[in-house]
Amino acid sequence: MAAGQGRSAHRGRRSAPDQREQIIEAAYSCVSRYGMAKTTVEDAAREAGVSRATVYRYFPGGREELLAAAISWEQMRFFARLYDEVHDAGSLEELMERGITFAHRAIKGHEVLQRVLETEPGLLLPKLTVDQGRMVALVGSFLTHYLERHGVVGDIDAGFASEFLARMVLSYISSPGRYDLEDPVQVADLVRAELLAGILRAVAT
Amino acid sequence: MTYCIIVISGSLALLRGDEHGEPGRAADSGTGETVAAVEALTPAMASTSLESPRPTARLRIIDAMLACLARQGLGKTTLDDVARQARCSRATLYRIFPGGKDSVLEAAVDTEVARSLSALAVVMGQASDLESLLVMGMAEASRLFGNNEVLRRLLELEPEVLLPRLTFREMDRILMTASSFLAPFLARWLAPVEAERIAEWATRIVVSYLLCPSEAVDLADEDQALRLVRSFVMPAVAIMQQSSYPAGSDRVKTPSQTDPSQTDPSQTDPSQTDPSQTDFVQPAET
Repeated sequence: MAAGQGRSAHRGRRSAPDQREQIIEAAYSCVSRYGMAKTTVEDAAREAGVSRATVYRYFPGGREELLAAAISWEQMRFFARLYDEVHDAGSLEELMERGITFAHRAIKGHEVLQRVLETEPGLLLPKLTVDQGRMVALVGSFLTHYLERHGVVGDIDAGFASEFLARMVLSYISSPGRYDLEDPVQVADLVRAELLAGILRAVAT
Repeated sequence: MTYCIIVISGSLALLRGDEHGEPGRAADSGTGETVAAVEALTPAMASTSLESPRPTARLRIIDAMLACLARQGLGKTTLDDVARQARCSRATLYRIFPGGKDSVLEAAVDTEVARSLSALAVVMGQASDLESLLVMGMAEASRLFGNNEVLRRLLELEPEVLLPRLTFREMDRILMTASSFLAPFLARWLAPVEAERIAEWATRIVVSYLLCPSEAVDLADEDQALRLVRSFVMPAVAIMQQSSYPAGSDRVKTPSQTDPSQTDPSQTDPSQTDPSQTDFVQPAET
């Protein structure tokens, strides 16, 4: 946020971070209506009620940069909801079970994501893949923090364990494979074996 | 089209990169074993290769397609490019592949997958215990995938072609395909249910570190693969094998004691055929 004088000088106008987010949100809403291929800078500007020049001021890369920002924005909203869902879990097992169940449902029930995956996967997936390292780092750093705070590290390096765990969580929630993640018994099974067996054993020893 | 699925399963691929620029040599040196591998691993493909009047020309075209993919990607590769690279005419190409580009591509992908899987199988066949099987298999698969020129170039040039086949529901299909190939190797030491489960998991691990390389872990390095397997995979195997473990309904609880030579009946040595079976059959025939 700018200093107080900035706010008074621009009464009625949004501050920069707000306006940037407003444009991103507008772009996302265009994608949800028209798809990625058909969303233009013009659409997003109109939706946000700003000029094209304003959009380009925040996103000099134009359409591509704006779309990438919209995808990252929605990902961040997803991880924020995931955090709300799991942050007060009483144990690592519970954290994983709640997180996986929630994330799997959120992905399956995400209409915009599912429609884009269906109709224009070639546009979305390269962007998601570029973001994948960031997602692993994001989930991983949350887990490192959790593992250290709850003393569940044992003789395994916390960074090593949480990176692995983050990768596996991201893999299972997007492609459950043999598991039905709607079934609490199977989720518990997955969490205690594939996800946490090594980490919990390291604590026990 | 099936080709894309397979490009990925083909991530397991061992590529004879050195042969791609020299199709003639590739055909000469690899025909027999490659065709055998293809027939063993991809039944649909086997019939095609048997129908082909000249398997050598066929393989030359396939290798030419792979070389073109590695050089210029899928979109820019034309049948003329493939024919030129294979040093054959368009007419010959169409005679062998009446379906044109799509069918050459499909055959190329199938062949690549068969080569990769057979290379992986050779390595995994040398394992002396479960841990070494996992370590050798994951490290070798990481090297095969990571060094696969075709895969690398396609990811670089045309991620929009490849990635949709590597993620979400498409990834589920690859996981199924890969785990049914890998599970029999694991079944030397695990019950069938655990074998499939671990096979799928190992595939995920390799794919995750390949598509999104880690700064900290390089699975192509056997020591690092060993550290990961010991830290995370073996403890889970132990848990899966505990009979008290509250697992899925029809889980098989006891580890398999199956002799590896019996896991595939077709590999049974004919000289050891039980004579009583012959005795049993003969009276029925006479």
